[in-house]
Amino acid sequence: MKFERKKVENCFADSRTYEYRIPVSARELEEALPNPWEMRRNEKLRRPVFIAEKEGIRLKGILAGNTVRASFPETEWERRQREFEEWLEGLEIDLEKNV
Amino acid sequence: MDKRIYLNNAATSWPKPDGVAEAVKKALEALPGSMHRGGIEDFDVFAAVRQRMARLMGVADGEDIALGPNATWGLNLALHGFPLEAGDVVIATKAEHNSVLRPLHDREAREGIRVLYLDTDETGCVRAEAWEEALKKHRPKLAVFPHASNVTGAVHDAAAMAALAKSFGAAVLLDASQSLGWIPVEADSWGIDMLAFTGHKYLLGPQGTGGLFVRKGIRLRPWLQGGTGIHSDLAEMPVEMPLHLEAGTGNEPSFHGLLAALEWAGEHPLETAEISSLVLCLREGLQEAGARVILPEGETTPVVSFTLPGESAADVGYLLEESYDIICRTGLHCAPKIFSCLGVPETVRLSLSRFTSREEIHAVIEAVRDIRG
Repeated sequence: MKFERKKVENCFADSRTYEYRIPVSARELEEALPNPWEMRRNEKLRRPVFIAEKEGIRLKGILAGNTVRASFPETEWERRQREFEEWLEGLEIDLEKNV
Repeated sequence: MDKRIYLNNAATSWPKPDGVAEAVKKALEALPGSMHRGGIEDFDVFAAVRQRMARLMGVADGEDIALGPNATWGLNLALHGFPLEAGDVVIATKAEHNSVLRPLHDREAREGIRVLYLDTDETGCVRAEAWEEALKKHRPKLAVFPHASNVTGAVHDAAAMAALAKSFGAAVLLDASQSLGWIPVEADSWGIDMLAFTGHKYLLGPQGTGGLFVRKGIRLRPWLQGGTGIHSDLAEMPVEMPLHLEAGTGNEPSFHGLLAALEWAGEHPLETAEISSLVLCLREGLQEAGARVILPEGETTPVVSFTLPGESAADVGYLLEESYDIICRTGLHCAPKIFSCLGVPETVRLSLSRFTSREEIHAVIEAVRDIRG
Protein backbone atom coordinates (compact mmCIF):
# COMPACT_ATOMS: atom_id res chain seq x y z
CA MET A 1 0.00 0.00 0.00
CA LYS A 2 1.40 3.36 -0.94
CA PHE A 3 1.18 6.17 1.56
CA GLU A 4 2.21 9.78 2.12
CA ARG A 5 3.99 10.70 5.34
CA LYS A 6 4.37 13.97 7.18
CA LYS A 7 5.92 14.71 10.56
CA VAL A 8 3.45 16.22 12.99
CA GLU A 9 4.79 19.29 14.73
CA ASN A 10 3.70 19.25 18.33
CA CYS A 11 4.85 20.21 21.76
CA PHE A 12 5.47 16.93 23.52
CA ALA A 13 8.70 15.68 25.01
CA ASP A 14 10.55 13.30 22.67
CA SER A 15 7.88 13.65 20.04
CA ARG A 16 8.13 11.20 17.17
CA THR A 17 4.72 11.56 15.62
CA TYR A 18 3.89 11.16 11.94
CA GLU A 19 0.72 11.30 9.93
CA TYR A 20 0.13 8.85 7.11
CA ARG A 21 -2.33 9.40 4.29
CA ILE A 22 -3.41 5.99 3.04
CA PRO A 23 -5.46 4.90 0.02
CA VAL A 24 -8.08 3.18 2.17
CA SER A 25 -10.12 4.21 5.18
CA ALA A 26 -8.68 4.12 8.67
CA ARG A 27 -11.41 1.60 9.47
CA GLU A 28 -10.02 -0.78 6.86
CA LEU A 29 -6.54 -0.30 8.21
CA GLU A 30 -7.72 -0.90 11.75
CA GLU A 31 -9.45 -4.11 10.70
CA ALA A 32 -6.24 -5.27 9.05
CA LEU A 33 -4.12 -4.74 12.15
CA PRO A 34 -2.76 -8.06 13.34
CA ASN A 35 -3.47 -9.47 16.81
CA PRO A 36 -0.64 -8.07 18.89
CA TRP A 37 -2.12 -4.58 18.57
CA GLU A 38 -4.13 -3.53 21.58
CA MET A 39 -7.26 -2.00 20.10
CA ARG A 40 -9.73 0.58 21.30
CA ARG A 41 -12.55 1.81 19.14
CA ASN A 42 -14.91 4.60 20.14
CA GLU A 43 -18.03 4.70 17.99
CA LYS A 44 -19.80 7.20 20.25
CA LEU A 45 -17.74 10.21 19.26
CA ARG A 46 -19.01 12.58 16.60
CA ARG A 47 -16.54 11.05 14.18
CA PRO A 48 -15.75 7.57 15.50
CA VAL A 49 -12.09 6.75 16.05
CA PHE A 50 -9.77 3.88 16.75
CA ILE A 51 -6.66 3.96 18.90
CA ALA A 52 -4.28 1.03 18.73
CA GLU A 53 -1.04 0.36 20.57
CA LYS A 54 1.76 -2.12 20.14
CA GLU A 55 5.11 -2.06 21.92
CA GLY A 56 4.96 1.67 22.42
CA ILE A 57 3.75 2.54 18.92
CA ARG A 58 0.47 4.39 19.17
CA LEU A 59 -1.72 4.51 16.09
CA LYS A 60 -4.98 6.39 15.78
CA GLY A 61 -7.37 7.63 13.17
CA ILE A 62 -10.88 8.74 12.39
CA LEU A 63 -12.48 5.53 11.13
CA ALA A 64 -14.09 7.16 8.12
CA GLY A 65 -10.98 9.19 7.26
CA ASN A 66 -7.96 8.20 5.25
CA THR A 67 -5.19 9.50 7.49
CA VAL A 68 -3.79 7.87 10.59
CA ARG A 69 -1.36 9.24 13.13
CA ALA A 70 1.45 7.16 14.56
CA SER A 71 3.64 8.02 17.55
CA PHE A 72 6.82 6.05 17.98
CA PRO A 73 8.56 5.28 21.25
CA GLU A 74 11.71 7.16 22.20
CA THR A 75 13.90 4.06 22.13
CA GLU A 76 14.89 2.92 18.68
CA TRP A 77 12.17 5.01 17.15
CA GLU A 78 13.77 5.02 13.71
CA ARG A 79 13.89 1.24 13.56
CA ARG A 80 10.33 0.99 14.85
CA GLN A 81 9.12 3.51 12.32
CA ARG A 82 10.90 1.67 9.50
CA GLU A 83 9.29 -1.60 10.56
CA PHE A 84 5.89 0.02 10.79
CA GLU A 85 6.22 1.53 7.34
CA GLU A 86 7.42 -1.75 5.88
CA TRP A 87 4.37 -3.40 7.38
CA LEU A 88 2.14 -0.65 5.98
CA GLU A 89 3.66 -1.05 2.54
CA GLY A 90 3.16 -4.79 2.70
CA LEU A 91 -0.53 -4.37 3.41
CA GLU A 92 -1.25 -3.09 -0.06
CA ILE A 93 -2.23 -6.35 -1.70
CA ASP A 94 -4.59 -7.51 1.03
CA LEU A 95 -6.31 -4.21 1.36
CA GLU A 96 -6.72 -3.72 -2.34
CA LYS A 97 -8.45 -7.09 -2.48
CA ASN A 98 -10.89 -5.82 0.13
CA VAL A 99 -11.67 -2.55 -1.64
CA MET B 1 -16.32 31.19 7.43
CA ASP B 2 -14.52 28.21 8.93
CA LYS B 3 -16.92 26.19 11.10
CA ARG B 4 -14.21 24.86 13.37
CA ILE B 5 -14.02 26.11 16.94
CA TYR B 6 -10.73 27.90 17.42
CA LEU B 7 -9.45 27.78 21.00
CA ASN B 8 -5.74 28.28 20.46
CA ASN B 9 -5.55 32.02 20.92
CA ALA B 10 -2.65 31.81 23.34
CA ALA B 11 -0.63 30.54 20.38
CA THR B 12 -2.00 33.02 17.89
CA SER B 13 -5.31 34.83 17.76
CA TRP B 14 -8.06 34.07 15.29
CA PRO B 15 -10.19 35.57 13.91
CA LYS B 16 -8.64 38.98 13.46
CA PRO B 17 -10.78 42.10 13.80
CA ASP B 18 -12.33 43.79 10.79
CA GLY B 19 -9.82 45.86 8.92
CA VAL B 20 -6.66 43.89 9.75
CA ALA B 21 -6.53 41.79 6.59
CA GLU B 22 -7.52 44.78 4.50
CA ALA B 23 -4.72 46.88 6.01
CA VAL B 24 -2.14 44.19 5.20
CA LYS B 25 -3.46 43.88 1.65
CA LYS B 26 -3.40 47.65 1.12
CA ALA B 27 0.16 47.85 2.40
CA LEU B 28 1.26 45.11 0.02
CA GLU B 29 -0.38 46.86 -2.90
CA ALA B 30 0.89 50.34 -2.06
CA LEU B 31 4.38 51.73 -2.56
CA PRO B 32 6.66 50.67 0.30
CA GLY B 33 6.99 53.19 3.11
CA SER B 34 9.98 55.35 3.65
CA MET B 35 11.65 53.24 6.33
CA HIS B 36 13.11 56.04 8.44
CA ARG B 37 13.91 58.06 5.36
CA GLY B 38 10.65 59.96 4.93
CA GLY B 39 9.80 63.50 5.77
CA ILE B 40 7.07 64.82 7.98
CA GLU B 41 4.46 64.29 5.28
CA ASP B 42 5.21 60.58 4.95
CA PHE B 43 3.21 58.12 6.98
CA ASP B 44 5.51 55.92 9.03
CA VAL B 45 3.60 52.88 10.20
CA PHE B 46 6.38 51.89 12.60
CA ALA B 47 6.23 55.28 14.31
CA ALA B 48 2.45 55.05 14.53
CA VAL B 49 2.65 51.58 16.08
CA ARG B 50 5.34 52.71 18.52
CA GLN B 51 3.15 55.59 19.65
CA ARG B 52 0.16 53.33 20.27
CA MET B 53 2.25 50.63 21.91
CA ALA B 54 3.80 53.20 24.26
CA ARG B 55 0.33 54.18 25.46
CA LEU B 56 -0.73 50.57 25.77
CA MET B 57 2.24 49.49 27.86
CA GLY B 58 2.40 52.69 29.88
CA VAL B 59 5.75 54.09 28.77
CA ALA B 60 6.56 57.70 27.96
CA ASP B 61 8.54 57.41 24.76
CA GLY B 62 7.66 55.19 21.80
CA GLU B 63 11.21 55.55 20.52
CA ASP B 64 12.27 53.22 23.34
CA ILE B 65 10.36 50.42 21.65
CA ALA B 66 12.19 48.35 19.05
CA LEU B 67 9.87 46.59 16.63
CA GLY B 68 10.55 43.17 15.19
CA PRO B 69 8.91 39.93 14.18
CA ASN B 70 7.74 38.56 17.53
CA ALA B 71 8.26 38.37 21.28
CA THR B 72 10.94 35.71 20.84
CA TRP B 73 12.96 38.27 18.91
CA GLY B 74 12.48 40.82 21.69
CA LEU B 75 13.37 38.35 24.43
CA ASN B 76 16.48 37.24 22.58
CA LEU B 77 17.59 40.84 22.11
CA ALA B 78 17.15 41.43 25.82
CA LEU B 79 18.63 38.19 27.10
CA HIS B 80 21.60 38.03 24.75
CA GLY B 81 22.20 41.75 24.83
CA PHE B 82 21.98 42.49 28.54
CA PRO B 83 25.47 43.00 30.01
CA LEU B 84 26.33 39.97 32.14
CA GLU B 85 29.62 38.40 33.06
CA ALA B 86 30.62 34.93 34.20
CA GLY B 87 29.25 34.32 37.67
CA ASP B 88 26.49 36.93 37.38
CA VAL B 89 23.12 35.65 38.52
CA VAL B 90 19.83 35.81 36.64
CA ILE B 91 16.63 34.90 38.40
CA ALA B 92 13.76 33.54 36.37
CA THR B 93 10.79 31.28 36.96
CA LYS B 94 9.83 27.76 35.97
CA ALA B 95 6.90 29.29 34.11
CA GLU B 96 9.19 30.65 31.39
CA HIS B 97 8.68 29.91 27.73
CA ASN B 98 11.52 28.42 25.70
CA SER B 99 12.12 31.86 24.23
CA VAL B 100 13.48 32.76 27.66
CA LEU B 101 14.84 29.37 28.70
CA ARG B 102 16.93 28.76 25.60
CA PRO B 103 18.73 32.11 25.41
CA LEU B 104 19.50 31.87 29.13
CA HIS B 105 20.73 28.31 28.73
CA ASP B 106 22.96 29.47 25.90
CA ARG B 107 24.54 32.20 28.01
CA GLU B 108 24.90 29.83 30.93
CA ALA B 109 26.72 27.33 28.73
CA ARG B 110 28.85 29.77 26.80
CA GLU B 111 29.51 32.59 29.22
CA GLY B 112 29.17 31.03 32.64
CA ILE B 113 26.33 33.12 33.99
CA ARG B 114 24.20 31.45 36.66
CA VAL B 115 20.46 31.13 36.18
CA LEU B 116 18.08 30.20 38.98
CA TYR B 117 14.58 29.07 38.09
CA LEU B 118 12.10 29.54 40.89
CA ASP B 119 9.33 27.03 41.44
CA THR B 120 5.78 28.13 40.80
CA ASP B 121 2.79 26.99 42.78
CA GLU B 122 0.46 24.37 41.33
CA THR B 123 -1.24 27.01 39.18
CA GLY B 124 1.86 28.52 37.59
CA CYS B 125 2.60 31.54 39.81
CA VAL B 126 5.76 32.20 41.77
CA ARG B 127 4.92 33.00 45.36
CA ALA B 128 5.92 36.50 46.48
CA GLU B 129 7.87 35.16 49.49
CA ALA B 130 9.93 32.83 47.29
CA TRP B 131 10.66 35.68 44.89
CA GLU B 132 11.80 37.97 47.69
CA GLU B 133 13.89 35.28 49.36
CA ALA B 134 15.71 34.45 46.12
CA LEU B 135 16.38 38.10 45.38
CA LYS B 136 17.72 38.67 48.86
CA LYS B 137 19.91 35.57 48.78
CA HIS B 138 21.31 35.75 45.26
CA ARG B 139 21.29 39.49 44.40
CA PRO B 140 20.75 38.89 40.67
CA LYS B 141 21.76 41.34 37.99
CA LEU B 142 18.64 40.50 36.05
CA ALA B 143 15.19 39.27 37.06
CA VAL B 144 12.93 37.79 34.40
CA PHE B 145 9.34 36.66 34.69
CA PRO B 146 6.27 36.15 32.54
CA HIS B 147 3.38 38.48 33.24
CA ALA B 148 1.05 35.57 32.54
CA SER B 149 1.69 31.85 32.15
CA ASN B 150 1.00 30.58 28.64
CA VAL B 151 0.22 27.18 30.16
CA THR B 152 -2.25 28.04 32.91
CA GLY B 153 -3.33 31.66 32.40
CA ALA B 154 -2.13 32.59 35.91
CA VAL B 155 -1.10 36.23 36.15
CA HIS B 156 1.82 37.47 38.23
CA ASP B 157 1.59 40.67 40.22
CA ALA B 158 4.09 42.36 37.94
CA ALA B 159 4.12 45.65 39.86
CA ALA B 160 4.99 43.95 43.14
CA MET B 161 7.55 41.55 41.65
CA ALA B 162 9.27 44.33 39.72
CA ALA B 163 9.37 46.58 42.77
CA LEU B 164 10.97 43.82 44.83
CA ALA B 165 13.52 43.04 42.15
CA LYS B 166 14.43 46.70 41.82
CA SER B 167 14.81 47.04 45.56
CA PHE B 168 17.52 44.36 45.42
CA GLY B 169 19.27 46.02 42.51
CA ALA B 170 18.14 43.79 39.66
CA ALA B 171 17.08 44.99 36.24
CA VAL B 172 13.66 43.64 35.32
CA LEU B 173 12.62 41.97 32.08
CA LEU B 174 8.90 41.31 31.75
CA ASP B 175 7.63 38.82 29.19
CA ALA B 176 4.24 40.30 28.32
CA SER B 177 3.58 37.96 25.39
CA GLN B 178 0.56 36.48 27.10
CA SER B 179 -0.81 39.60 28.73
CA LEU B 180 -0.53 42.72 26.62
CA GLY B 181 -3.94 43.47 25.16
CA TRP B 182 -5.67 41.48 27.88
CA ILE B 183 -4.22 42.63 31.20
CA PRO B 184 -3.41 46.32 31.76
CA VAL B 185 0.32 47.01 31.76
CA GLU B 186 2.01 50.07 33.28
CA ALA B 187 5.68 49.52 32.60
CA ASP B 188 6.85 52.97 33.70
CA SER B 189 5.04 53.07 37.00
CA TRP B 190 5.91 49.43 37.73
CA GLY B 191 9.60 50.08 37.10
CA ILE B 192 9.95 47.55 34.28
CA ASP B 193 13.29 47.95 32.49
CA MET B 194 12.57 45.78 29.48
CA LEU B 195 9.31 44.41 28.18
CA ALA B 196 8.89 41.95 25.32
CA PHE B 197 5.58 41.68 23.51
CA THR B 198 3.95 40.08 20.52
CA GLY B 199 1.38 41.62 18.22
CA HIS B 200 -0.46 38.48 17.14
CA LYS B 201 -1.91 37.15 20.36
CA TYR B 202 -4.17 39.38 22.49
CA LEU B 203 -3.35 42.45 20.44
CA LEU B 204 -5.09 40.65 17.55
CA GLY B 205 -2.59 41.68 14.90
CA PRO B 206 -0.94 39.50 12.27
CA GLN B 207 1.96 37.16 12.88
CA GLY B 208 5.31 38.77 12.25
CA THR B 209 4.82 41.60 14.72
CA GLY B 210 6.34 42.09 18.13
CA GLY B 211 9.00 44.01 19.93
CA LEU B 212 10.97 45.06 22.94
CA PHE B 213 10.72 48.12 25.16
CA VAL B 214 14.06 49.14 26.69
CA ARG B 215 14.18 51.80 29.37
CA LYS B 216 16.59 54.66 28.77
CA GLY B 217 19.84 53.94 30.57
CA ILE B 218 19.76 50.20 29.83
CA ARG B 219 22.30 49.57 27.10
CA LEU B 220 21.89 46.28 25.29
CA ARG B 221 24.56 44.91 23.03
CA PRO B 222 22.77 44.73 19.69
CA TRP B 223 22.47 41.03 19.14
CA LEU B 224 21.25 41.52 15.60
CA GLN B 225 23.26 43.81 13.37
CA GLY B 226 22.81 45.09 9.85
CA GLY B 227 21.37 47.88 7.79
CA THR B 228 19.45 50.63 9.53
CA GLY B 229 18.92 53.06 6.65
CA ILE B 230 20.89 55.81 8.43
CA HIS B 231 24.44 56.13 9.77
CA SER B 232 25.47 53.72 7.07
CA ASP B 233 29.07 54.91 7.36
CA LEU B 234 29.35 53.52 10.91
CA ALA B 235 30.96 50.15 11.53
CA GLU B 236 28.70 49.61 14.53
CA MET B 237 24.97 49.83 15.06
CA PRO B 238 23.75 53.38 15.80
CA VAL B 239 23.46 54.06 19.53
CA GLU B 240 20.08 55.68 19.29
CA MET B 241 16.92 53.70 19.92
CA PRO B 242 15.09 52.11 18.31
CA LEU B 243 17.64 51.73 15.51
CA HIS B 244 20.19 50.37 17.97
CA LEU B 245 18.22 47.13 17.99
CA GLU B 246 16.46 47.20 14.62
CA ALA B 247 18.55 45.84 11.78
CA GLY B 248 17.10 45.01 8.40
CA THR B 249 13.85 45.82 6.67
CA GLY B 250 10.81 45.77 8.90
CA ASN B 251 7.64 43.82 8.18
CA GLU B 252 5.67 46.81 6.98
CA PRO B 253 2.51 44.99 5.81
CA SER B 254 2.11 43.12 9.09
CA PHE B 255 2.66 46.27 11.13
CA HIS B 256 -0.06 47.97 9.09
CA GLY B 257 -2.22 45.05 10.17
CA LEU B 258 -1.19 45.48 13.79
CA LEU B 259 -1.97 49.18 13.62
CA ALA B 260 -5.44 48.39 12.30
CA ALA B 261 -5.93 45.90 15.15
CA LEU B 262 -4.80 48.47 17.74
CA GLU B 263 -7.15 51.06 16.28
CA TRP B 264 -9.99 48.55 16.31
CA ALA B 265 -9.25 47.66 19.94
CA GLY B 266 -9.28 51.36 20.80
CA GLU B 267 -12.80 51.59 19.43
CA HIS B 268 -13.90 48.29 20.98
CA PRO B 269 -12.59 48.19 24.56
CA LEU B 270 -12.20 44.71 25.98
CA GLU B 271 -15.20 43.60 28.06
CA THR B 272 -13.61 41.11 30.39
CA ALA B 273 -16.76 40.32 32.40
CA GLU B 274 -18.40 38.25 29.65
CA ILE B 275 -15.20 36.38 28.82
CA SER B 276 -14.44 35.74 32.49
CA SER B 277 -17.89 34.25 32.74
CA LEU B 278 -17.10 31.99 29.76
CA VAL B 279 -13.81 30.93 31.37
CA LEU B 280 -15.66 30.11 34.59
CA CYS B 281 -18.32 28.18 32.64
CA LEU B 282 -15.60 26.24 30.81
CA ARG B 283 -13.69 25.41 33.98
CA GLU B 284 -16.85 24.19 35.75
CA GLY B 285 -18.08 22.26 32.72
CA LEU B 286 -14.75 20.50 32.30
CA GLN B 287 -14.62 19.61 35.99
CA GLU B 288 -18.15 18.21 35.80
CA ALA B 289 -17.05 16.19 32.78
CA GLY B 290 -14.33 14.62 34.92
CA ALA B 291 -11.35 16.72 33.88
CA ARG B 292 -8.64 17.85 36.24
CA VAL B 293 -8.55 21.59 35.61
CA ILE B 294 -5.74 23.92 36.69
CA LEU B 295 -7.42 26.73 38.58
CA PRO B 296 -5.36 29.89 39.04
CA GLU B 297 -6.74 32.34 41.53
CA GLY B 298 -7.48 36.00 40.93
CA GLU B 299 -6.97 37.68 37.61
CA THR B 300 -6.22 35.33 34.71
CA THR B 301 -5.90 35.35 30.96
CA PRO B 302 -8.57 33.36 29.09
CA VAL B 303 -6.54 30.14 29.21
CA VAL B 304 -7.84 26.89 30.65
CA SER B 305 -5.45 23.96 30.97
CA PHE B 306 -6.63 20.49 31.92
CA THR B 307 -5.99 16.78 31.84
CA LEU B 308 -8.40 13.88 31.58
CA PRO B 309 -7.68 10.95 33.89
CA GLY B 310 -6.81 7.85 31.89
CA GLU B 311 -6.24 9.74 28.64
CA SER B 312 -3.08 11.31 27.31
CA ALA B 313 -3.20 14.99 26.40
CA ALA B 314 -2.16 14.00 22.88
CA ASP B 315 -5.17 11.72 22.49
CA VAL B 316 -7.60 14.27 23.95
CA GLY B 317 -6.29 16.98 21.65
CA TYR B 318 -6.46 14.65 18.67
CA LEU B 319 -10.04 13.67 19.42
CA LEU B 320 -11.13 17.26 20.00
CA GLU B 321 -9.62 18.35 16.73
CA GLU B 322 -10.29 15.42 14.46
CA SER B 323 -13.59 14.23 15.83
CA TYR B 324 -15.11 17.54 16.96
CA ASP B 325 -13.35 20.26 14.94
CA ILE B 326 -12.13 21.96 18.11
CA ILE B 327 -8.66 23.40 17.75
CA CYS B 328 -6.63 23.41 20.93
CA ARG B 329 -3.00 22.92 21.95
CA THR B 330 -1.57 19.95 23.80
CA GLY B 331 1.74 19.01 25.34
CA LEU B 332 4.35 21.16 27.03
CA HIS B 333 3.35 24.44 25.37
CA CYS B 334 7.05 25.35 24.96
CA ALA B 335 7.29 25.85 28.72
CA PRO B 336 8.75 22.55 29.89
CA LYS B 337 9.96 23.52 33.37
CA ILE B 338 6.54 24.44 34.75
CA PHE B 339 5.19 20.90 34.65
CA SER B 340 7.15 19.69 37.66
CA CYS B 341 5.34 22.39 39.63
CA LEU B 342 1.90 21.74 38.19
CA GLY B 343 2.14 18.04 39.04
CA VAL B 344 1.11 16.87 35.57
CA PRO B 345 3.35 15.79 32.67
CA GLU B 346 1.46 17.77 30.02
CA THR B 347 -1.92 19.43 29.49
CA VAL B 348 -4.61 20.18 26.99
CA ARG B 349 -4.90 23.94 26.67
CA LEU B 350 -7.97 25.83 25.56
CA SER B 351 -7.44 29.55 25.04
CA LEU B 352 -10.32 31.86 24.31
CA SER B 353 -10.49 35.24 22.66
CA ARG B 354 -12.94 38.08 22.82
CA PHE B 355 -14.68 36.43 19.85
CA THR B 356 -15.33 33.10 21.58
CA SER B 357 -19.05 32.40 22.05
CA ARG B 358 -20.96 30.62 24.81
CA GLU B 359 -22.19 28.10 22.24
CA GLU B 360 -18.60 27.20 21.44
CA ILE B 361 -17.81 26.70 25.12
CA HIS B 362 -20.82 24.42 25.52
CA ALA B 363 -19.73 22.45 22.45
CA VAL B 364 -16.27 21.93 23.97
CA ILE B 365 -17.70 20.74 27.27
CA GLU B 366 -19.99 18.31 25.45
CA ALA B 367 -17.07 17.00 23.42
CA VAL B 368 -14.94 16.43 26.53
CA ARG B 369 -17.88 14.70 28.15
CA ASP B 370 -18.14 12.36 25.14
CA ILE B 371 -14.43 11.65 25.19
CA ARG B 372 -14.57 10.90 28.91
CA GLY B 373 -17.41 8.46 28.10
